[in-house]
Amino acid sequence: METKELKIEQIKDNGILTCKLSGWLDPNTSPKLVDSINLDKVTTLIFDMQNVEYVFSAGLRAFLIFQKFIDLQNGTMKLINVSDDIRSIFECTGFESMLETK
Amino acid sequence: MIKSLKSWLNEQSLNFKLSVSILTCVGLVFLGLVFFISEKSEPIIKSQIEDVAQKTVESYVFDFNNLIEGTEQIILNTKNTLVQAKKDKAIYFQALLDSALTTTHLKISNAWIYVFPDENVTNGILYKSFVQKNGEIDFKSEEIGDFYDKFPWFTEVPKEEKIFWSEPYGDKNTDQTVITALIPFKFRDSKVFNGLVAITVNLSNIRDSVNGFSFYETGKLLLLSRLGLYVTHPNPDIALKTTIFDLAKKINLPELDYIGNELKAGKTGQKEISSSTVFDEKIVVFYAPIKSIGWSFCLIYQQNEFLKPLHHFKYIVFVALFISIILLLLIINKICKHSTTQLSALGMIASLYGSGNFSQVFGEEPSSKDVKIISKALADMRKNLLKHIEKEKQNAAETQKNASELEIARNIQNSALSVDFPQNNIFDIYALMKPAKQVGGDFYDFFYIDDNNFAIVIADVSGKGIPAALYMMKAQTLIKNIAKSKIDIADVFYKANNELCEGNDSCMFVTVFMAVINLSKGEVRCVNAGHIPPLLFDGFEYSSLSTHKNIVLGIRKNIKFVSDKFNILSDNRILLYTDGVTEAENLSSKFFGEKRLFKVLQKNKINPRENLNTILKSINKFAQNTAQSDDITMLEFVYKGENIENLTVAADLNNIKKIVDFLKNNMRKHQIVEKNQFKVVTSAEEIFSNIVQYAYDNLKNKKISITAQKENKFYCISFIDTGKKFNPLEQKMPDISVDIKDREVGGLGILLIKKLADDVQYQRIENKNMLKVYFKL
Repeated sequence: METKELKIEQIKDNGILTCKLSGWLDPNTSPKLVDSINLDKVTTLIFDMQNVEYVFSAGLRAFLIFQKFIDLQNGTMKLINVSDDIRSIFECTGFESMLETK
Repeated sequence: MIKSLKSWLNEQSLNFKLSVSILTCVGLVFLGLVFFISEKSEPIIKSQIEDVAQKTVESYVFDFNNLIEGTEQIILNTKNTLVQAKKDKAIYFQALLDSALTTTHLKISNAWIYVFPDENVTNGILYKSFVQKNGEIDFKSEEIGDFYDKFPWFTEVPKEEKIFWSEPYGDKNTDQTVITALIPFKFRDSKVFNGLVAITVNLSNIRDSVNGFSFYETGKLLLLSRLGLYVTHPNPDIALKTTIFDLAKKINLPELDYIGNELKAGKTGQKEISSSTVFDEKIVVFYAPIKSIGWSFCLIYQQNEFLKPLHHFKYIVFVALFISIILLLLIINKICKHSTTQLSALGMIASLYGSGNFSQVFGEEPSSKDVKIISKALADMRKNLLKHIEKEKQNAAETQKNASELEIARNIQNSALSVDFPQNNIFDIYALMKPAKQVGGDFYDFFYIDDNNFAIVIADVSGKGIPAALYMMKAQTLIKNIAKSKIDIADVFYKANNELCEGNDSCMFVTVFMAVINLSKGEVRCVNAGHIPPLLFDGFEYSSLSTHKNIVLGIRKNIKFVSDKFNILSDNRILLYTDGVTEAENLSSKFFGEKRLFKVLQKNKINPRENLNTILKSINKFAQNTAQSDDITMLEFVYKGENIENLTVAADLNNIKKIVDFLKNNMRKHQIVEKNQFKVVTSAEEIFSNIVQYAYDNLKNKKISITAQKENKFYCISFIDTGKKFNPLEQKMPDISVDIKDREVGGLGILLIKKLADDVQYQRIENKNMLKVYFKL
């Protein structure tokens, strides 16, 4: 049985790439996320997490990879609209610096 | 062929078999003897007869030779005397001839001198002395112009001085058969032959002797001249008229030609002639030459004449054999019939006894020792049978009584086995016992100790029958009563054992397995006292439960029993059974065995009632019609768990959604708040991914079992897998204090579990990893 499908909606405006994610970030979907986003000439990477239900460690790893790439390009990465539950995941793994400050 | 002959013989009467075998042996021995004797004696008889024939012929040859040589001596003497004379002088010749006639013992019928004509005399002169019919000797001389007319057998004047013998011919003076020997002579100083000297010998004596001779009955002696003329022959038409060669042609018998040529060549020999057209029987011709004159003797005889006595002897033996066989047959028949008639009578009586009729007895005088033995045995048998039947009748009545008592005992025993299986959401239970023919000693039991504790028991009492049944009842009652007093399970066994040892003089014992299940926690405490370990289904497979092995009950007092403790989860099963299951035998005395039991269990994860009945069916199919030797008893307990749910899925990351759905449903039932639900789901996903990737190394066809339950103020999920030992708690934790830029990618999942859960416990049980995660509610 397939896991809950991950949908990625990308909006590129100059150097700003906004990805609207919906669904789960689990071991099946996370590699897809890494593959489907092109960071060429991106200086600011924004993930809109409004419709994300779960972020598992696989998802965390994906964000860590994006963070490392964007750092190499001297850019910045932000996660917005993060639910409290998911925020707790980021917090307890020391990933809170990724999140937008409310 | 031999087989069918044998089976046919087996169906014949003793009488017949005995006769056939004895007579066959006797006949074969006799025939062998006769053939041996005749084969050995025939050649001996033949050679002896040949010997006699040869000697007979040799003696005749010797006599005849004497005659010829004597005659030749006389004629040579006469000739030598005559040579001294100058000219013929009748008186001188007469004296000479007379002396030849008289001075011999030979039968000389005449002697003569013939002087050839010469330039002085035109006719030759014959001087002849001869024996007249009255026996007196006469002498005459006459002139003969043509000598050869007078002696037709004499064909030409000899060219050399050598005795010439004529063929036999009839003498006109005496009417007797004679032969003449003659030799030419010269007077002194003469250059040519001047005449002939001759002596005629009478052959009638020899002929009579030869004719009169008979060799045994059929043997005949024949004398043949140089040219093959029969000088003697039994048939007067042949004697002196026919040669052997003429006869060979006439009767078409080439063997005679052969013999004639042999004689001419002066050979000695023997020839067998078997021509059915000429002779009735085989004849043998033995021949030998008379060298001096070139004649021969032949001895002819029928070989069969000498073999006839031997053949007669054979016929007599055959007839004697035949007669003795008939006689033997009659005697054997007589002897056997008497015995076999009695034997058949005994057989008839025995078969009557067999069918329950004892009225007949054997009253005759036994004809032989064997019959006597059998008839005595039969009489004893009758006596004993009657005694036994009487006894059996009494026994039967008693057995009838016992059987009905036994039936009652069995009913009581069966009624002690509860069939009221509780129906609820927490567990499912079913048990069955298929007793062996006798009252057995197996029992199962199940009962509530209190609302939350349920006991299951299985036991097997040693031995069978009423004692085992009574002991079983005692054991069952004791265990149940003591267990219900809510003391520790080890103490239950301690007390029950002491009670069972009390007054157990017959040294019976009972193997017992008992388990008490804490229904709310799934906690099991059990004691195994010498029983077969039960099987535990842990969601994956059935395996033997390894427990402490305690001594059986009823043997020794004051034993400390050791209990075991383990947990069961939803859908786990405990299967108790007795050795009647694994030791069920089939026709070839093979056990049903654990292997077959496991094979049946592999297929079935249905309700316990069907499960046990499937096992029983499988045992019956295996045992076919073999009588059941031991009770077959089984009890299966399936734990559903009031608050416990279970899910087993393939170890595949694609099943994450299934697990999440299962947990969400379960938590909704228990009204777990959203915040906690999120924690549980996230932890569960991390645990699942870890098992798939690390315990199983992403191998296919592996399974993971997940249970979820609410325990008081905790929500608990547990994971069981059969992968390699993998304790997530021992994994290296990522350092979260470092800057995000320097963070490593691994270890996040385990970190998450530890952060989200309130308690995590890892256990390695046998080959399985079991991880229990608690969340405070």
